[in-house]
Amino acid sequence: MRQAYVQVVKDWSKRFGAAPWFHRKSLAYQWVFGVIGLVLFLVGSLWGLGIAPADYQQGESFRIIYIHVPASFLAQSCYLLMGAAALLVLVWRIKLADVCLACAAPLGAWFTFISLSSGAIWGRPTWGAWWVSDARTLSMAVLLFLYIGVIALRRALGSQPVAPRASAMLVLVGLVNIPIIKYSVDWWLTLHQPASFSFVEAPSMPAAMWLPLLINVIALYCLFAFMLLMAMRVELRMRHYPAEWTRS
Amino acid sequence: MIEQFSAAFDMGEYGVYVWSAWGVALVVLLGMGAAPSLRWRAFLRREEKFSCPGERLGEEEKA
Repeated sequence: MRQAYVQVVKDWSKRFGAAPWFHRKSLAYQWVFGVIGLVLFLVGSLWGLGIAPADYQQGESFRIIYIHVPASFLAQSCYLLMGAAALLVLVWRIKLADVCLACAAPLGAWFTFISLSSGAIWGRPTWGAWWVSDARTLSMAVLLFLYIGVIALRRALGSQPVAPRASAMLVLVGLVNIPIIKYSVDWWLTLHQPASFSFVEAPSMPAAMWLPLLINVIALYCLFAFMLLMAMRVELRMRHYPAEWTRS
Repeated sequence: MIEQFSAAFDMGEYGVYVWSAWGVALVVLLGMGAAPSLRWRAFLRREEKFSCPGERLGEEEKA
């Protein structure tokens, strides 16, 4: 039974984890995600900035939501993806998962930066301060430091064999921060507003406000997939250079 | 037409905040999109520079 299981995993990882196979197959997906993401981002951004009604309390400054919320979603989702990749690295030692982890970390860090910077700029007219140390803002700042930690650890270890396992361990330890970010506005009294979207409740905003937000969330997920696939393809080519398929 | 368009994107006193937040985000997104291709080009330049194995070894020893 165990031997059969090991064989299945080996076959699966050999087929779907092979660098040339991934490099060849991912190109089409990369551009599909890129084009869909760009079109949706243009539609969502123009709708959110120019057509959606202003908020009755926050006025026009509310339009920062259309970049702040999608970036925050991505910042957390990217870390969850890295957590899944870290498990694959530690349990099955799949090299492609390590490539995914290494390429996702800088993207996640930048999305967290967008979330924090847009939040700070939004905070100035709304709260009267660029930064307020409540549970949500602090846990997002911790997420940025976790990303920077993973990137720094990989840079420090370079191509040493221990690098994938060490960074995977750090990612798994940092996973505890994700539910803290998610529930920080419920567990503690925060200046930050509660979640804008919920899977179990109807949106509190009218459709003219939340539809462009939903479009931009989907757009940024597509653009993230585009950028991740592009980064992974380059990383694979660099690792396997000068193999024939890396020169195509 | 142009007036209607500019009126739709007129944020009044909040304009500086909204456009700053969006500006920062767009610059970062463009940078993230361009980074892999720049990285690959820099890698190829490095590879061409040290195409002889002896030179590469020498560089590593110096470092």
